[in-house]
Amino acid sequence: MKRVIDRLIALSRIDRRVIYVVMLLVVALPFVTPVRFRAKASEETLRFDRALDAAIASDAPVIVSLDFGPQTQAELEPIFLAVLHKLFFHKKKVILLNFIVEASALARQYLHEMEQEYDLTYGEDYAYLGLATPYYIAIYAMGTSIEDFFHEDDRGTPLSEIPLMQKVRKLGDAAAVIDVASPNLPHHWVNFGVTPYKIDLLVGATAVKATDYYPYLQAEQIKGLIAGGRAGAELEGLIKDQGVRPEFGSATTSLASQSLALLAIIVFIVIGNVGYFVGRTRRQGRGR
Amino acid sequence: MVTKIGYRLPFVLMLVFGVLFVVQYFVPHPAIKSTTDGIQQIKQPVSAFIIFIGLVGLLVMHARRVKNRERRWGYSLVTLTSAAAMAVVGMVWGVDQGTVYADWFTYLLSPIEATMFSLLAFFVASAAFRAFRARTAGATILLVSAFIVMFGMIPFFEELFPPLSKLASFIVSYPNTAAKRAILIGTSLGAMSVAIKTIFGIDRTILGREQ
Repeated sequence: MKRVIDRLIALSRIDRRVIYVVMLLVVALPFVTPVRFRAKASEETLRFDRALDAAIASDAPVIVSLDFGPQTQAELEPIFLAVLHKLFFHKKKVILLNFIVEASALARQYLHEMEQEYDLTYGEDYAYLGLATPYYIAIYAMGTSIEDFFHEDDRGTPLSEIPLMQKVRKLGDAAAVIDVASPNLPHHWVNFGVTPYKIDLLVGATAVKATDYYPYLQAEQIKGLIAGGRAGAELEGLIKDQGVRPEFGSATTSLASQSLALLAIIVFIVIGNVGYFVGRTRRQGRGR
Repeated sequence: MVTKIGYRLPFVLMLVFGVLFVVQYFVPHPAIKSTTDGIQQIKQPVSAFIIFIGLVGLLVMHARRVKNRERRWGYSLVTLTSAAAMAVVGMVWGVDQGTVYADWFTYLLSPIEATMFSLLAFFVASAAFRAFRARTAGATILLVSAFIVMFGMIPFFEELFPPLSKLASFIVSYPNTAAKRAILIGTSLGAMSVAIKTIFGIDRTILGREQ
């Protein structure tokens, strides 16, 4: 018995390098094996998809705000690409912009890929306005006039010369605004876009930030929320079922890694707690 | 006398612009709207200037470190060289797809930043193992909630035990939302209080003490 207790206490003091190796294995393993998990769509994801369908059904173009950099690219890129694929598949006109500097290079890269895949024409099927700063001023000013704030697009073309921008002169002219963001930008979209101008806002966020947006989702200030990588996989499943994409995207691939990593963390916490309680009981026994 | 006016001027400006922007949010009169829109146009170059000031500050700090051979000056040299290289290739050859700038971003900056961020998974696992203990009733509730939410996120357990997923969704949608809403309302009231004190000059600490 004493030996078992000693082992349990020793287990609760595992070297952190062992934890790192286990995490490395569980994260990497699904990428080299055919293990794939399919996530059942949650109510939030279904709401997002319904709101996206409603925006597609409208005649007006959609504004998409890309607000993530390489740090959160693995989690948010699948969401962003799933949204863009669905919009362009349905021949929806898209106006793209971003509020963080690093997103500009990503935006150009994604739009280049989309342009080739869907044979898009710049200025007619899509437009990229570029970086907008400061974000709160930009959002609020776009409610009155997009042209007065931006003047020209990312390529330096005056907005007055872009046919697509003649259909969307202010935020209210768009069918919806979709913000895929790692920082707190959806919060500012609600304050400076949704409240004064009554726009429909859809949000894709990291799992860590998503919990901040549930109050807005309940109050319907946000019409749909994709919360992190798992919800990204749910969205990929939905658009595959709808025939938008032939295959699942990278969120579905990484779902197995995420699930196994969560399982490993749970096991580590259990081991830590068992060791803690056994050790405490022994200390208390000695105290008597 | 001049010093006193100089000290009071920022407070007068804060009062005028603060009240104007609060009023325009609630009074959608075209005259007020056009005035504030005009002011907002000024904020764009101001914002650009702030970024410029930040950049100059960063460069001066690192240049000083390199010049004085301070501790870890090599990192400062890497910062200065990288900043200069990205700026030059961006301005000379452009930033579109296929340019050197875009390639450096895709093949250098992206992997570096993603690697730094992904280290979090290892640190979080290690920290959770060491610190997440059911020491008190509060910590136990937190632990049980975390377990339910984590299990609810794993598709395998969702299939095996469907109520788990619903329970996880309930925790995120209700107790979490209630707490977040309370924090949101609290911080918003705090921000309003600070704004009112600043706009009406009650809190003058932002400009230091009156001479």
